[in-house]
Amino acid sequence: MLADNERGDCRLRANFDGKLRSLTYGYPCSVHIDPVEKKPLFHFYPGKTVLSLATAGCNLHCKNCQNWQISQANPEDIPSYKLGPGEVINLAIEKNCSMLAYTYTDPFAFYEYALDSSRLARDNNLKNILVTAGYLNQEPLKKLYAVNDAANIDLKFFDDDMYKKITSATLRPVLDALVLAKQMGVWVEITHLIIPTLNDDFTLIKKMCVWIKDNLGKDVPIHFSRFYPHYLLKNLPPTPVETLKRAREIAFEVGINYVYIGNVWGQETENTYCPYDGQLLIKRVGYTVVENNIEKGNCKFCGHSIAGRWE
Amino acid sequence: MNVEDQRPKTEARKQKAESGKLIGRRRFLGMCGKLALGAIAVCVMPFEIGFSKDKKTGKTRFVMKIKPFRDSDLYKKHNLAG
Repeated sequence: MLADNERGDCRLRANFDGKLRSLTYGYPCSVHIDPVEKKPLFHFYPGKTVLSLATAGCNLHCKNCQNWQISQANPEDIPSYKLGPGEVINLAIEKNCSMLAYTYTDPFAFYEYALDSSRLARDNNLKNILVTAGYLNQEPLKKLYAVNDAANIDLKFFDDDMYKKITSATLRPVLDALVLAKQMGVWVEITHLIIPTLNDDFTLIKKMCVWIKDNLGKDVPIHFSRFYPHYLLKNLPPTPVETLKRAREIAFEVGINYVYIGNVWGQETENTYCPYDGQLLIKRVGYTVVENNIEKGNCKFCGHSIAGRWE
Repeated sequence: MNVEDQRPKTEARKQKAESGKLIGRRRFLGMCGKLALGAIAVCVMPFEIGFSKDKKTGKTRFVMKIKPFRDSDLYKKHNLAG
C-alpha cells in the first residue's frame, strides 16, 4: 500500500489524496518514428514505420538497462511532451505511420495511457505494438492484449534467481505473459539479451529454447541480442559474437524456425530464411529491408506459408 | 550624458515628433533585441506547469517539465533500445 503522497516503485504512480494516479498519462518523454525492425519485429509488416513513444519510469529496474536515463528517472526530472491519446493518433496519421509502439520504457508502467491510445488507434485502423518485459498480472494483460496486434517480449533470464537479482522481476509471470499473448492471437517475437557470465550458459539457453518450442511453437522468432556495458553493468564486456552464434545454432537444433542476432551489424544473421528450402526471404541491412521474397505470406520459391503478419 | 537628456521629456518628445522620429534608432534596435531574446526563451526553454495541488495548503506537489513538441524531434537519431 502507498501512503499519502508516496510513489510506487515505478516512480510514475502516486497516491494523491487517496487516489492512485498515473503521473505520466498524456506526457510522453520520448516520441520517435522508427522502422518496425528496430523493436525488433522481423515478421510484422516489414519495412513499415512506427510512431514510438514512452513515458518516464519503469516497473523493472534492470541493472543493464540501455534506456536508464528515462526508465529510472522521476517523471518530473525529465522534460516531456504534452500529447494525449487523441493527439498521438492524429500525429501517427499525419506522419503516415500505420502503427504505434509503446516502447523504450515498459508500457505496463504507463498502462492507462498505452491502453487508451491502443483503443483509439484500433478505432482508427492503426496497429499497436507492445515492446515489453512482460511482467504484469493476467487480468490487466488481457485488456491490453485485446487491443494490441504484436508484442516483442523480453525473456531476460531463464532462471528466477537471476531475474530477481538483475531486473527485480520474476520469471513465472513473464512466461505466463508469453503464453497468454500467443493464446490471444497477438503476434509475438522474443528478445533474449545475452550478458556475459549472467546468462550465457548454453545449457540454460537450450532449456529456454525447448520451453519456447513446447509452449509457444517453433514459429515464434527469437532475437539473441548482444549486450553492451550500460548503467550498472559497465564492468562486464560486450557479448562475444561467437557466443551469440552458438546460441542461434542451439535454437535451430532445438527446432525453432526463425532465429536472429541483434545489435551486431552487417551479418547474415539479421536476414530471414525459409525454414523449408533455405532460400533468402528477407535481406536486411541494419533496420532497412533491402529484399523481400515473401508473397502474400508465402515463400516466393517453394510456396510454403511463413509465420508472421504480412501485407 | 548629452544635452538632449537633460531637457524635460515632453519637450524632447515634441522635438522628435517634429523631426519625424518617435524613438531613436539605438533604442529601437535595443527593443527589437529584447523582444527576440524573449521569443527565443519562450520557444527553447522548457517551462513548468502545475499538475496537482494540495487542497489544504494550495502548494504544488507535482510538477512536470513540458517541452514543446517539434516535428523534427520525431526523426532525431536516438540510442534508445526498443
